[in-house]
Amino acid sequence: MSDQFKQGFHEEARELISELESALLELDEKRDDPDILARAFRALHTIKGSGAMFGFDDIAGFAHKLESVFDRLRKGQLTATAELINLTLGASDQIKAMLDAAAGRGVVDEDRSKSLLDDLFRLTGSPESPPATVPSQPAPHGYAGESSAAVEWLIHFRPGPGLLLNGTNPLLLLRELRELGELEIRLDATAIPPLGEMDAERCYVAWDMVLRTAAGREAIGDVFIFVEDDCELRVEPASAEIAGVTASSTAGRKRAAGAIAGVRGSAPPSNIRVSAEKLDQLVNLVGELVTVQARLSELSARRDDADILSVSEEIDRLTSELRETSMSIRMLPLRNTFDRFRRLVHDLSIELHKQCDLVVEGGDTELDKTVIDQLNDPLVHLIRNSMDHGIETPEARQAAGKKAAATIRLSALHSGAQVLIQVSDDGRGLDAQAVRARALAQGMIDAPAELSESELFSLILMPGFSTAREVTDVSGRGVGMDIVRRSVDALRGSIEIASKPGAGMTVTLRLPLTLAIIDGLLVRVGHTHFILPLANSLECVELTRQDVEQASGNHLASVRGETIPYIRLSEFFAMKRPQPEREQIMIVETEDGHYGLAVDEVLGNHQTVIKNLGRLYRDVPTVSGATILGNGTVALILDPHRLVQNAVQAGSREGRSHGRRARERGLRNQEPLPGNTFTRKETRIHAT
Amino acid sequence: MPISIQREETRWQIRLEAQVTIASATELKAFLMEWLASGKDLDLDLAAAEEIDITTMQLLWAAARDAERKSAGVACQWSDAAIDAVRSAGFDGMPGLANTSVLTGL
Repeated sequence: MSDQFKQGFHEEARELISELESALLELDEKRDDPDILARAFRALHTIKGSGAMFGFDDIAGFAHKLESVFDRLRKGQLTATAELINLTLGASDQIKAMLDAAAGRGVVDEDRSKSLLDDLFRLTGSPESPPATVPSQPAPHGYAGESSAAVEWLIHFRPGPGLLLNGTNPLLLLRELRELGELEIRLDATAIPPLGEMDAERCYVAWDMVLRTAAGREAIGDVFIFVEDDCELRVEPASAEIAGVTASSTAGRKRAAGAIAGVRGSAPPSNIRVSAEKLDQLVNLVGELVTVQARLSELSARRDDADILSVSEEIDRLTSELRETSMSIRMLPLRNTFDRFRRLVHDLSIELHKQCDLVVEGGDTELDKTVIDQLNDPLVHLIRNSMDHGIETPEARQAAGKKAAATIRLSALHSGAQVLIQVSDDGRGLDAQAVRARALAQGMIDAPAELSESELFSLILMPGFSTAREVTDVSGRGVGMDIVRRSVDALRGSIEIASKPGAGMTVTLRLPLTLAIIDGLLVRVGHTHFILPLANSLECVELTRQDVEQASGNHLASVRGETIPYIRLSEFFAMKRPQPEREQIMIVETEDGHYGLAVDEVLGNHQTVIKNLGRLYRDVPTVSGATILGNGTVALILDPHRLVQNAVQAGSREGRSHGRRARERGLRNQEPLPGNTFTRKETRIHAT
Repeated sequence: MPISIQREETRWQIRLEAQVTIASATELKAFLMEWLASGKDLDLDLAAAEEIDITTMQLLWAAARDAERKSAGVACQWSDAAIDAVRSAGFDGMPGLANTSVLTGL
């Protein structure tokens, strides 16, 4: 078996385990939901089938035993209990360990496998269940087509053309059908072309079969469960009488509708697996192409040649489409990432003896895969922190007049070129004075330091900070929140913390949609170029010297009757250049409202390939990266939100003394750029 | 190497050993094409074949059908495992397995 197929199995199995865990956690809330039971069963059945097919016999055997239990659960022969669900969650961890061991990472603890199965059999009362596809006794709840008398089924099975390439062996499926009863098969080889025209790896054949079995339609369908998206399949009762019996079965009706009418289309599979490495390579190449295209545009604009200009514009359009398409391939919904935390909350609830529900919102929000990959750790720490420190024990909650079960809300939403991810809980919240006292005790701030509530809260992101009295297994070591900050910094994102004592805490992560290529707006200040993300830009208005004089030196512009404060980039970055007669103000949308950024000239749209600036600029929050322009020069990409926030905070700090150590330790992220002249004059902005 | 070929003056021999699956399908097709172009008779030796899959069966089926149209002779030796696999898939009309030819066995 090739490594490629085995790798495919590993990936599929991990997805199935996630699906299994998700189903188990939902089952914990709705113990007898047949759809959820069927999901869990299908996941286990597919793990078993694929495992056997690819030679992972230990995984297949282990999954088979679990599958047998879930087969009885879905038939109503067993009842799901919390203990059974937790045990199965433990068993899914064990399958993960087996997968790791098969990939050369660690060894399988055989004793644990045995003890899990022993516990499972103790709970379910049967050490050796028959295979899931053969019912051990008549189903009590009218399970589709189940009866002790064998009946005949007509099965048409045409594998999709690429089925063999996926590593599927139809012979094993036929063997599995034979295990259900007497099978007569008729091969349809009419589609096999002359040898010279054949694709050696393609499947051309189909089978029409008659199966005489006591097992029902569901059991037959389960044989094909992991190829159902890549084949044409019809399962029909051989006689009208049987069809009538089946249709009268309530539980069977739903499945029957799917199986009889559900002729699986022979359309090619709608999804293919591509390695993330190849996608990265594609996006890197598109990035290079965009940069070269910028040079071509620059050159063609300089030459007065309509033909070259026309070709350049055409390539520009195609490059832009290519960029959008390749970027969209890397965008993934956050749902899978979010759903993984259900397990974390479930396990921590047991460990900490707390009751907690996880509510997920905005799971369809899409984010670049590279960002998602780095999001797991900070979210784990935030949820652990909430569970351990934020959420009270059920008794304490009830004493405080709250519901015994707490809620952690994990949500995501788009905001311009950014995504806001919030983790909020309804726990005890942060006590600003306790944070202050702790910061003082740890020497993070000086006694006279006057910090706003949000500045105080941001101290919990400092290395070594913890208000927890005890270090637990979960958190409290004072490293978690620091990891959150470092991870988010690495993504060029930001963190905001809001809290009300007794009511809970909300941590908002503001992250860029992508770390690769964005639509930007190219602006010029003197001889320097900057990029503003187009998603944040609203409109452009003109600012004449007369306007400036009329505003009496205040940085305020009147746009259709609305007064908009603006920041002059030349002053913000302390750039020396003669004051132009006319300036332009780009109105940008930020969390703090609409603000203007005054520049000398707005040059137009620019496809912007984001390049990292390196460690030297890591602590310059207003700049989110750089890009190379068509003429080879570098333009800094500005982060309008942080730019405005920086100005707001610089203004609000005016007149207040900061703790020296706080500045040294980490509030440097809030500091204006070195040499920045943004002082008294700009503070007027905030008075508006 | 699960597939080997001997090109004799009057008859060719293609031997399939051990596991003959999709991994060697392209190679098997090339050998079979070469043999069909030669116009010689073929000894197809699967006596040492431990596993054959659908791709192998399809190729042998197509080659036998093309050979029959060209009146080239094919003699087959099958291992028990190969016979089981071929019969379980319904390829009963394979040369050497039954009196029916692949053409009539369709």
